[in-house]
Amino acid sequence: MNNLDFFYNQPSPYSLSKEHKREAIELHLSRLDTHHYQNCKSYQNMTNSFRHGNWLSSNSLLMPVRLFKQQELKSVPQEDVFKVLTSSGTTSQVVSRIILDRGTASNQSKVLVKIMQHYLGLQRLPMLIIDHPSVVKDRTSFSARGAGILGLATFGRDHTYALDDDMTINIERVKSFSEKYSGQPVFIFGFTFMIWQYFFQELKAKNIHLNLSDAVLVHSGGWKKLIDVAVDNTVFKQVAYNTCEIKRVHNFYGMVEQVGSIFVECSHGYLHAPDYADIDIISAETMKVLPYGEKGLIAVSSVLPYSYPGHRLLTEDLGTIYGEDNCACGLKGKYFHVHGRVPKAEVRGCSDTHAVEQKL
Amino acid sequence: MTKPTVNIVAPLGKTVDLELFFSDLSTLGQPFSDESVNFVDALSSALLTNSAYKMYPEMIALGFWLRRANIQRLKQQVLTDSIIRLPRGVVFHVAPSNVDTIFIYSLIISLLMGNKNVVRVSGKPSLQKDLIVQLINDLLLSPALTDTSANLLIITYSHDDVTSRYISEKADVRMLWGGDKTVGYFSALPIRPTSVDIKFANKYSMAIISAEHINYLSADELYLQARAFVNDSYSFGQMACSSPRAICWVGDTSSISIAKSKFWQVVKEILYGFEHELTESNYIDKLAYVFEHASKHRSKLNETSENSVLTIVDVALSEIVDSEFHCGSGLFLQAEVDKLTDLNKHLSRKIQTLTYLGFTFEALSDWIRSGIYGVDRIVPFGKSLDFDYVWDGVNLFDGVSRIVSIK
Ligand SMILES: [Zn+2]
Repeated sequence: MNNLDFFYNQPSPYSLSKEHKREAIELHLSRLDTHHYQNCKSYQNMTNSFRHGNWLSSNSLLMPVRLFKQQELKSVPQEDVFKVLTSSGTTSQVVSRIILDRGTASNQSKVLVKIMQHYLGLQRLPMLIIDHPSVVKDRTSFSARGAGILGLATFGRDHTYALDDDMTINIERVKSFSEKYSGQPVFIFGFTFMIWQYFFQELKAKNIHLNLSDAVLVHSGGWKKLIDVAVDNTVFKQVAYNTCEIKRVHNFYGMVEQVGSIFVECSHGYLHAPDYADIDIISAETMKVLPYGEKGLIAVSSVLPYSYPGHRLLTEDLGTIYGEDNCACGLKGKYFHVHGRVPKAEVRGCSDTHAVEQKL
Repeated sequence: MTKPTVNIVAPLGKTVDLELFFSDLSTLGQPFSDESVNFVDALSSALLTNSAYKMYPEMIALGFWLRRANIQRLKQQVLTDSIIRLPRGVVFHVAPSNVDTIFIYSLIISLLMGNKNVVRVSGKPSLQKDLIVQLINDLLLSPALTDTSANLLIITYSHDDVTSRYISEKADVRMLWGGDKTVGYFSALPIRPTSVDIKFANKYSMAIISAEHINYLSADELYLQARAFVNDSYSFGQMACSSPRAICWVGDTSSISIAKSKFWQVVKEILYGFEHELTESNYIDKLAYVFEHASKHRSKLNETSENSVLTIVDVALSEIVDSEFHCGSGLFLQAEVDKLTDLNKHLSRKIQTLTYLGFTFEALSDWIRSGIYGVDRIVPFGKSLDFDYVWDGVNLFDGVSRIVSIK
């Protein structure tokens, strides 16, 4: 079993200084290496191939996150499978499938609680969800969006959905929420693009000003669509303040392949690795770890994945680490920024491969 | 039938009644007419002298192929006294969307043969395609090229069946580039009973290397061969159908082991200074491929793979052909055999080019007759991307002409 008591017993999820963390997390990750090697045939074959080559001067496989889209990877017996998480994808995209047993699912929730309580406090706060209620109704299909909302809903009470099913803002509901809890701390959660497009933009267009000055806004889901319209984190926060007087905004970086050990933005605008997880920046070309300050592929590790071999992953996102344990916010851990996806390469070759070209 | 609508990109400013273009065959030319040869020569001169094309090796290669001397050589090979060869009629060329120059070769062959030509190019923006189309437009302004201008139509059209169907029903030949999907799509559209299709399916190419030969080479000779191999495989990001994607080593185990390490070491050194066009996204695709392959087939990353530019995967001989998923970008599947004939059963119709090192012409011609179902061409290192009018086993001059017999 995956015993995480050492980590749970720390006073906060950002307690371990780098020497302690390196020792504790490497010990744990190498146990997971062995567990997955012995219990997942695919992982074993991949590791054998990886160890043969000369990448990363390491014995531990860093698995490309895309593998979860290409096959079902499982390190527990079928009878222990408790649920399957899938990433939200547009209709044509292939989705990741993540196999969870009860232990892994329960650790995911526990770790998420530890991390979120650090920002929200121990009390459940009144919660405004910037989405529509039916996104969580169909519980048989755990889309990442629905799962994300359900996961975070446990930190709130009096769950109020800001949008109707057609994605339009329900002004009355939102106003009555903000009036009811005026002067009290509240929790607002949603996906970055949804909040921008269907909440902030709508409030601006309708010239409505809300007073949510004691709110903590938590959001996630990537910046791609916002970068396209030239909105970055600074602009996002400014608009949060201008439209709703929200002063505390925390973006977080997470993925369906490592639910639970998320990387939350600190008060100084950096994403932080909690004790349960770590991050490295890898050069895609040299397959070497890059020094702090350089931009490259984000590799994430997490002590949680036990039922599937997702404890050391190479993502397709670009990022830069700025340091470890010395962020001005005071939290321990590596702190970094994410710059979005690796841009797609131009397709070359004698064969037409574009989906749009198939017809012609 | 609904009227098709097309956008004419060359000759620029021309308005064409498609109906008339297909029905008026009075402009069909004589094979290798002076005008068509002059047009090809002008195209060649422009490509070889204008500095705008210098940075595109494939444009320069095209320019060389189109030189007057080469065209004269082709003429001698194609036009022989014993047969009467005439244009076939209207040729419909469907250009691939990802390689910007290859359709020019088949277009030139067809123009030289005296045919009328409709070329459908992809609407996708491409600098090289735009350059070549612009060049053709400039040349066609010349009053000495009115026949060529009348026989050539380069078009784009939106993704609708109507236009594809319309042109298919009227063309005498369809030249279908673009691989399995494009060929499959057009094959479903009817052509006239007297018409023919020339189809270019997805193809896979490999290198065959004699280990003993490598071990005999001097350092300088090995460098030249490795350099040729790098050009063969890293141009077009290893995505041309003739780029070698796998290596089959031939010889006994111990000479292969020595040869491999010598060869890859030199390739690796050359790649440090080679301007490949690989990007992070290509490296990620390759990583995913390597581990997916390992998990399914227990293949092993080779220890030579220190970075993502050169990726070698040791596979079983039965896995050496992967025409479906191989992602190019400097990925080599490698396996070994005692003798060439051990490879025979893996050489299906999907196999196009074998680039070879260390075999005699006699050895190769004996071997290729020993019961091999596939393989279109066998060329020495450095020649994988050279165009030849015999392509994928088809003589393109034959494909776009008809032979009349008088007894
Ligand atoms: Zn911080």
